[in-house]
Amino acid sequence: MRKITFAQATQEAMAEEMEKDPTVFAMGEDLARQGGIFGQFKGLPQQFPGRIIDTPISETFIIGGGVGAALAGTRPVVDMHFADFIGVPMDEIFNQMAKVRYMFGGQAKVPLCLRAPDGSAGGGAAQHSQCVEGWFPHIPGIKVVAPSNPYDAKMVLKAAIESDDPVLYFENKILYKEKGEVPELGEEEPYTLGKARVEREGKDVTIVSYSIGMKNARGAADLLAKDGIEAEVIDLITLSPWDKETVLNSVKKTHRLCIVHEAVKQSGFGAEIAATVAEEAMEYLDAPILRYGAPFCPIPFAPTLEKMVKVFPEDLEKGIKGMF
Amino acid sequence: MATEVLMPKLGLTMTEGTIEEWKFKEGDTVKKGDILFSVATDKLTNDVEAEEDGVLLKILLPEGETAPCKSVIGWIGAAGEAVPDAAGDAAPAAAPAAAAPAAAAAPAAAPAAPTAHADRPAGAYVLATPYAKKLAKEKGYDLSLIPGTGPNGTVVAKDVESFVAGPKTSPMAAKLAAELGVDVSKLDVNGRVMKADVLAAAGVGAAAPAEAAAAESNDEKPVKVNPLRRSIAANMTNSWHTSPRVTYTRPVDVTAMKELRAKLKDGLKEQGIKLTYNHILMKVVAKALTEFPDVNASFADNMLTRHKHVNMGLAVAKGDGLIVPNVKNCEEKSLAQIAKETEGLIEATRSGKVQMEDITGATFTISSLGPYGITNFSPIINQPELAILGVCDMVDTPVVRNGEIVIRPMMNLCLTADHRVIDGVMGSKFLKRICELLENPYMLLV
Amino acid sequence: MAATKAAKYTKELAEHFYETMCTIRKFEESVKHDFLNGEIPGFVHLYIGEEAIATGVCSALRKDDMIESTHRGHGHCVAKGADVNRMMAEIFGKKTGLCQGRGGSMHIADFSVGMLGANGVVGGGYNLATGAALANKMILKNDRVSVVFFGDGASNRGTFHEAMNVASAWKLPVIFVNEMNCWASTTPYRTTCNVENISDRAAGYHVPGVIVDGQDVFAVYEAAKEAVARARAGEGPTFIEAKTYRIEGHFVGDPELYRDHAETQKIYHDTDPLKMFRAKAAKLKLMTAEECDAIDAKCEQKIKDAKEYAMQSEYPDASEYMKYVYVDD
Repeated sequence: MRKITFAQATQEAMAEEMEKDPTVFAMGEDLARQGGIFGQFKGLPQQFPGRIIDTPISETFIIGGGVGAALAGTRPVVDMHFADFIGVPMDEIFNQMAKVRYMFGGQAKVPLCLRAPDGSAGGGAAQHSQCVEGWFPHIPGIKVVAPSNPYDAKMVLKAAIESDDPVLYFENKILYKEKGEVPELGEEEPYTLGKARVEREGKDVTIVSYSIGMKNARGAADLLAKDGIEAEVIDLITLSPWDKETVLNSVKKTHRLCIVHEAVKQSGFGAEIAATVAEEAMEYLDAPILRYGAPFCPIPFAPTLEKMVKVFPEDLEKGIKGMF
Repeated sequence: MATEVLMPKLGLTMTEGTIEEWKFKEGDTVKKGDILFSVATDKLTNDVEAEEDGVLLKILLPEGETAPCKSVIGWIGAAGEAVPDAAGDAAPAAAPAAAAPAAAAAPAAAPAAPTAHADRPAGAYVLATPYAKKLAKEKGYDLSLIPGTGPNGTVVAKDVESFVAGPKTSPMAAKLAAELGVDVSKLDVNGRVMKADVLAAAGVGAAAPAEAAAAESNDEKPVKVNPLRRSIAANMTNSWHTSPRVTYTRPVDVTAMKELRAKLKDGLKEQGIKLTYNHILMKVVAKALTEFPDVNASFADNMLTRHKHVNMGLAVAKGDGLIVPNVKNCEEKSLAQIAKETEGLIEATRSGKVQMEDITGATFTISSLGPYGITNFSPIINQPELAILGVCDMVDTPVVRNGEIVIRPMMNLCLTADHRVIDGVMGSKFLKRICELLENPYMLLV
Repeated sequence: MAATKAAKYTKELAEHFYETMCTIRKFEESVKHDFLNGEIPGFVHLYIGEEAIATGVCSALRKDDMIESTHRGHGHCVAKGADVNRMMAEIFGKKTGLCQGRGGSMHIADFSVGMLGANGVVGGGYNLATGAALANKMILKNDRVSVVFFGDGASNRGTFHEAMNVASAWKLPVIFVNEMNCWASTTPYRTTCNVENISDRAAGYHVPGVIVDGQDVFAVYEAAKEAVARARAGEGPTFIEAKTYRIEGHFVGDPELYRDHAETQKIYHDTDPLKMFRAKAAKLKLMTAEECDAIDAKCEQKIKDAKEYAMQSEYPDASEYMKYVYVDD
């Protein structure tokens, strides 16, 4: 099977959706001339003139304007440049984007996709490295996705653009360059928002993650396998609405749960997973739930410090071994 | 409405009890007055009667387990009646234990050694994962009997799954099997595996499971000692820290005592009474004590209590432990009475049937190691008494009498006395008086 | 300001002006009465005294043009052509309401007439209207126009700047209609802003800034018509500052400790847009007082009927509270 990068996979998704639906367009900072600061929009401005729009540095307009455009009948893709900047248009996200359908009694639909490049990519420090996906599953009315590989990057983005509900699409900056197998056009499986995937089956412990956290999940599963511990690895893919059934079923089988994400551990999405398992599958647990995430600290600049707020597969391996 | 079955408080000093045996199983009908269970305290075993007619709905404290006095250990009520679960009741029941005196609470506070269930403090919350609890419930196991191998001794699912895979086993037997490393599934037993079966398989006598465990097993994993041993340990430690003691040793010529016994024993035997030297010693010491009221006394908070009567304690080996029953008002009793009562007490003690009042209230104790060839030792005072007399072996010894060397049966008496009250002179005089009486038993008539 | 000559206006348009303003007035008076009687949940903000602005602006729009309204949005909703029965039902939280009881007064909308919603967040509408204008012009390539209504208080939000800048930069068909009613909730406009006319700011974006008498529906209509023409011609946004005055408190039940009631009543007496319309219509010989009286009576009845409709309607089925969170719900 052909191998392409995560960034290329998102370009394919955009191109296919823009080809199919003329109301799909993208706007954000540095998209048209630069092709996105991470090159994730490369080629699209030439292929779709006038539909990849460079905005002023006006995050409230980018999001609020996107919501207005969606209400007017288009399918906007809006780009947040860095996920860190998402605090600027927060009202546009949680009071406008998320609420208009409900508060207007179903008259409105907001087929908008908000793309937000996130994560620590080396030296971005406190305001250009954050993983903020955990803020949004708290808000009814929007959906939240965070794919972990090129194939999902493509199919999840397509699903997000095609969705008549607003979708926040978190794409990890480190993952952009990573290659993975993606089937040829027409041979892919469409992705249904809200579905998790059991990426690797195992009987001893369930490791749940998403986005770049999956590297830790997979790495830990490999390390544990050497000692005969069979980890079941679940890629959540969608954080809201999240696939409780898949996680609960796995925990009922393995009786142990480990959650990992790059985002800060405290009040991170892992807390929601842990709480849900405690609520709905408590009696199936044979060990306390393990959670891994960044310490309660902004992302530092110096490489020696930045390393300290990261999670590594060995951390999971050690913790999981302690469950037995 | 269901009625609680409580751990009884059998006497002032009892703080906790261990279920030795439930005489009924859950679901059985019991009548008021039936022996419901037997409980081992730190000193003895008592049968406890049911206080109600009804069905034994629930046994909360399994055989072999220990709980504080007054805690709920089971429920009696109408058939099918619902009762609160164990967890709901354990907490309030445990509260009085916390308020118990420090010495009594000490065994319960024993450090929780790593993994085995046997090291769980009595009545403690059983650490178990939710899944282990679910499995145990499904299989009908009592979680508190399952050894935990998880972190901090937590019972995890595999502990439950590997627990009692073989024949039906009594909880006590299962517990012992775990301690002694006996595979109950290999035992050739008709019906339920009982404690005795496990002990037999382990090749040890019922009296000494802890020693046997240590002998059988190569590893040095500590094992929980029985309540009697815990009590002895606590009492001896307490005494050691309480009484500044001096041991005075004095040889006594027991020629006269031997003659006395020889003259009396056959006559008494006809009355079914077996006379021993201990009985004579008890009579002699009781007489001496009436002359030394400060020795037949107890001391606490700078207050001296001189006892009106001599309640003569006699240390009796029981299994791997020691119990001190006492003969009340010994100074008033004849040698025959003393002999008769003492033998009865010893038998009751060794069979575990001794009554609480027989083992409390002693004012002085005699401990004899003579039969073991001991010629000198330093006994520890049985608190709150002030002195204890150690009796050694009788040895034919060359002694000088009237300028000539003669062979006489000599015996050392070792008096340990509490110097807070008994100074050297008093102690020596008291011991000297005992020796005079022994060497001149006719003085008992005075 | 263009002269308002009778020849410019048909009788139908004049009647539409008056009936619209009168409907708003009667609607608001009814809501006020019912709110004070405790029949309406939540809180309501009234448009009394400002009727000429919504009426003048919306009369210049087509049905498929879009408006973004404010928390004080009943007037915009009526003027854009929403059904008053369903409006009233929504304000009472009924199932037959425009938003099926999910929105209420502050979040009322009627997408079928291009009313894209009141907005509980002050200054929340600029970017929505501007984004709609962007979609219409640059993606859907039609000639629809967007209007955003906002008060003087909202003009101090940062969203104003971002939307004005983008609208001007890309000459988007969006009209910024400022209802300069002198009060930001309880705070007088000039105590928090050093610009005399809010429309002065338009120059900073190279956007025409127009001041009109917000009590004169003819004047507002003229200004809006011109702005709409510019927008449809691809010449970009217009800023209209309509001078008005908030006659009612910020919300119904506002004790109005911050101002003099007599002064407010005097302003109302002197500048009531309905009174001003009657005078002007008579002068231009468009409508007689009797004709206006007839419309008064008609509107009175229309709102009574609306109230009756709301009263007869059921509350939403409680079990459907989760409906409309997502499209599939």
